[in-house]
Amino acid sequence: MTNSTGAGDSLRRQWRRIGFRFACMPINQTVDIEKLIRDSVVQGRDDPDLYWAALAWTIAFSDLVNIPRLSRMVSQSETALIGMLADLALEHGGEKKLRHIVRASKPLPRPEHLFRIMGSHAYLTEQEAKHNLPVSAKWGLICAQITVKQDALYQRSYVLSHNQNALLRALLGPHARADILYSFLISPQQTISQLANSVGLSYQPVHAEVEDLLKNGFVRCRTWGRSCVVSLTEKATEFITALCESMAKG
Amino acid sequence: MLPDDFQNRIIPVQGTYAKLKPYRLGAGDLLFMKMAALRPQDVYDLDSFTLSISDMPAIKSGLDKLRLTNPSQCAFVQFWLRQKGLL
Repeated sequence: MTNSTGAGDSLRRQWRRIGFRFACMPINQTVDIEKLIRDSVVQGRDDPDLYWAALAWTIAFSDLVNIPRLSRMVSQSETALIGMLADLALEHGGEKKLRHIVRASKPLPRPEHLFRIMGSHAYLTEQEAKHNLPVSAKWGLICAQITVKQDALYQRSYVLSHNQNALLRALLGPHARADILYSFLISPQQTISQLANSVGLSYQPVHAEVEDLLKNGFVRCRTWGRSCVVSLTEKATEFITALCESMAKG
Repeated sequence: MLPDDFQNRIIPVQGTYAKLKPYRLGAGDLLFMKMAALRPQDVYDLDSFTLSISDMPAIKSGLDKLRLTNPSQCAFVQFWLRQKGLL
């Protein structure tokens, strides 16, 4: 049973791909982990299963989340939602770096129902207000019950073998470098601007990472006209492909 | 929470099983469980589902039980069913 919309279905298929058991087919494309968490938290106000999926996954796999990137993606009106998610994840064993999100988030100025439908009837509103949890009250939200669906998660080996971007983050840390290397697996030759666009960062940090990779012989740079096209060296390609293939075999 | 007489409405699960004889709950009993839990997802599900007359025996039986344990919630569910034209 679900109230999911078209957007909700797409989010469910993405969760399925990165290891949450929704009853649907996984999406074929790479999942942008931070965008998925942000979108699920926002859409979750009208589709609670998405909010609980984001919570369960963040608790179990917070080491694969690029926390600064997630913080940057969240708009002012959404910080309370993501702040509560990070707070709950910390309460349930998520990584300490989630505190960064808690510190950067602000509660809503006036209390609102976390799940909008609970404000649709006087009885539900009264029950929610009566049993509101301290963690939701802290964020200016009203929510009487938390659901942590840990049993709906796939094993870590599944998540890593089906998501090369997550695998590289597991190896190198959830930072720009892992995302840049993954981006080369999808599109082998890119300018720095294209790379910056594909990993969702500004030009400068990507340029700095590419310089480091160049210095250490992982990428090479060819100048075509005014642009510099970057690609992985053969050895780096061999290494990353072999790693991904061996993890995919389990 | 399940209606006390849910076993009268269980449905055999089709398939070939060596030693098992599995059954599933009827739709009315499943819907009543959602009415008794009233988590946000349940409220959305109930809002989007169309109840049929055949679901009503299970729901009425469940409401008799809910009236004893949580009268205010029972009153809410009855109000909601009336709005849907089912009570």
